[in-house]
Amino acid sequence: MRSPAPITRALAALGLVIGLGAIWNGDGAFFRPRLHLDLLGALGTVGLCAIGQCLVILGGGIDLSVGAVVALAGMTFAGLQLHTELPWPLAATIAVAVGAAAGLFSGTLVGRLRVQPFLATLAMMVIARGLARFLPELAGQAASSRFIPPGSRDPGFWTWLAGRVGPVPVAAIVLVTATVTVGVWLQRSVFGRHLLATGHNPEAARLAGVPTRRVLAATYVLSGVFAGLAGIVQVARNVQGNPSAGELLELQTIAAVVVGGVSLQGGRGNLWLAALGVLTLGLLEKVLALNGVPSHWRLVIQGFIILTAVLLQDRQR
Amino acid sequence: MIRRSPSNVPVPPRRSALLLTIATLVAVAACSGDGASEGGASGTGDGGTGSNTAPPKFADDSFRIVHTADARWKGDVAQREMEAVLERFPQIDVIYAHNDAMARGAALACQQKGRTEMRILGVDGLPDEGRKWVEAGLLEATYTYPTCGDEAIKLALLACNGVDLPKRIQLGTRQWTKGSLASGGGPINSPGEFMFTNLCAQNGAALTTAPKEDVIFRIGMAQCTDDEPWRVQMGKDLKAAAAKFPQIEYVYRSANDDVETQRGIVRDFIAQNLNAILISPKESRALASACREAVDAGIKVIVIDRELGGDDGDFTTFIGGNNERIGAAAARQALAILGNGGGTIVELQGLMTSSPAQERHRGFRDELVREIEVIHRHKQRNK
Repeated sequence: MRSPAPITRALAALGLVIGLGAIWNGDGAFFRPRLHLDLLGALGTVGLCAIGQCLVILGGGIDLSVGAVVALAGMTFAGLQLHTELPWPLAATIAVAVGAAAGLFSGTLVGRLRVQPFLATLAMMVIARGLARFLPELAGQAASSRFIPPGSRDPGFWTWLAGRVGPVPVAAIVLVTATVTVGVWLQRSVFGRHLLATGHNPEAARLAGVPTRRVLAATYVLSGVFAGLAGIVQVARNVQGNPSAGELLELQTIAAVVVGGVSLQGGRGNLWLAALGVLTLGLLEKVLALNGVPSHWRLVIQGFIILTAVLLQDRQR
Repeated sequence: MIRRSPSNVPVPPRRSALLLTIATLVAVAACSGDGASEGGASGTGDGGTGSNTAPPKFADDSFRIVHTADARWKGDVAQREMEAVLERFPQIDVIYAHNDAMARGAALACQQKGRTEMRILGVDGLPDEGRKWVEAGLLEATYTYPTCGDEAIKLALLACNGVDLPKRIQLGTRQWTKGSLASGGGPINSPGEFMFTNLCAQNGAALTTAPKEDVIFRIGMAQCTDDEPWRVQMGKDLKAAAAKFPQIEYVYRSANDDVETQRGIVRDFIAQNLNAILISPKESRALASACREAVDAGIKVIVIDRELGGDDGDFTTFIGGNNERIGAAAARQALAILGNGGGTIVELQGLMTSSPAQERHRGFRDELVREIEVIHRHKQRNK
C-alpha cells in the first residue's frame, strides 16, 4: 500500500465514535464488555451483507438487492424449517443457494448482458421482495404473512444461532469468521487481485488477461451467498421469517462500506475498511440509542456521517 | 495489492479529520439537545403528539416511564431498541408495546439477554399471533384491536337496505391473558358495541341470510395494504362475513400501500356502479374527495379503521376500534402488575405519525396519570 490514509481514517472515525460513547456512556452501560459483544452479534445480518456489498463495490458495481435477498433467503429457510420439517443443514444450504441464484441472476445481467449494476440489482431487489411475499402461499398462508414458529417450540438451531457460546453471541462468531476468511482470501488470492484490477480499470484489466466478466459475475454471486447467510441469521435472531425483513439494508451496507473508506468507483479499498465501517455505524447507532436519542434524530445524524464520508471520497480522486 | 499511478493526489488527512469532527459535533449537538428536553418534566401528556418523548409527571414518583421509543410498529426495530434499554436499566417491570409484533420483539430481546423480571403487554390480539404468544408465556396480555370485518359487511348491508346509520361506531376490545384465552378473552365494551348490537336487532329483516332471489347487492372493499398480519386478518374476516349473505356479491381489492392506487380503486367501483364501497383509507384527507364522489353517485361508503378526515358528508358511516380505550386498559393492567409500590415502565410506540399510535399512547398515559393520582391520594390518607 502506498498510503496508510484510508485505514487511518477509518480507525479515526471508529475512535471518535468510541470517544463519544465513553463521554455519553448511558450511566456506564458503554463500559460493559458484554454490550460490545452483543452489538457484534446484532450486527451479524448487516455485517454479512456488507461483505458481499464490499466485494461488489470493489469491482466497481453496486448491489441494491441485498436486503430483499435477505428476506427471500430468510423466508426460504424459515418456511422449509417450519413447514417441511427439513433438517437445518439442508434448509440452510437451500436458502444460501437461493441467495446465490439471485446473485447469479444479477451477475449474469451485469457481466454478460452489460446491464448497469444499479438497474440490474434494482430489478433483482423488486423480484426478490415479490418472491419473498409470495412464499407463504406455497405453505397455504396468505401472501405477505410471516413464518413464525407455533407456540413456544422454536427450532433448536435458531435458538443456538441466536444464543451464545460463553459470553460471545454465535452470530458474532459467524460474522468475524466470515469477515476474516474473506478479508485474508481477498488479500492473498488471484481473485482478489483480479477484482481490484477490474474495479480500477476494467479495460486495462481485460487487456492484461483478467476474465473481467466472470470476476464481476462472481462478486454478485458471493454477495447473494452472504445475503443468504445473513437471512438465516436474521431469522434466528428475530425468530421469524419476515417478508419485509432487510428493508433499507442495501443502503446501510453501502453506507458502511463507504464510511469505511472503500471507493464507490471501485478498485480501491479492502474488506477491513468495510468491516470498520460496519463497526463505526453500528457503534454510533448503539451510542445514540443508549442516550435515548429518538430514532428520527438518529437518522439525521447517520445521514450527515455518510455524507461526510462521501464528500471525503470525492476529493480523493 | 495493485500499485497505483502516483498521479492520484490524496486529500491531506487533516482536512478529512476536520470534516469528521464537524459531523461529530453535529451529532453531539443533536444528542445533548434531546437530553435537555427529556430531563425537563412537561405537561400531563394530555394529548399533544409532541409530548411523545417527554415523560409525564406522575403524582407519585415511584412510578416512572423510563424509556419511550418509536419502533415504527416493527418487531425487529423494537428488539434492537429494547436491547439498548436493557443495557441501561437493571430493572424493568412493565413493557407496553403498541402492537404485538413489537411486544414479541421486546420479549425476544429480554430472553436473549437472560432477563426475566418484566411483564409485557401488546396490542392486536390476533389468533395466530398475540394470543399464541400469550399462551407461550412471551406476553402477559394482549388487547384485541377489532378488524371490524363482520361489522362492516353488516353495516353495508343495512345501508343498502336504506337503514339510517349513525356517523361513528367505535367498538371495544378484549383482554387476552393466559387465564382468559380459553374463555374467549375478557370483554372491555364500549358504547359503540351496544349501538351496533341494537342496530342489528332492530333491523333483523335486512340481515337475513335467506333473501329473495332477485336481490343482489354489490359491495367492494378498497383495502389500503395487505402487508401486515392485521390487514390480512381483516381481509379474511370481511370475506367470511360476506360469504354468510347470499345476497352479497363481494369484491376485494388492495392498493398496495399507495394512495393513488386506492383512489383509482374507488373510482373503478363508482364506474362499476356498486351498491356500497368499504374503504380503509391509506391516508386521511387524501381519499375524502373520491369518497365524496361515490356518495354523490348514491353509493354507500363505509369507512373502516382509519378516519377519512374530511367532513361528514363524505361518507355514510365510520366503524373502527377504540385505541384510547385499549391504551387505558393496558395502563390499568400495568398498574395491576406494579401494585402500589411503583416501578419502571417502557413504552414501545408504533409510527407516531399514525393516529392509532398516537391514541394508544395517549390512552395509556392519561389513564396512568389518573390512576396514579388515585393511588397517591390513597397512600397520603393512609399515612
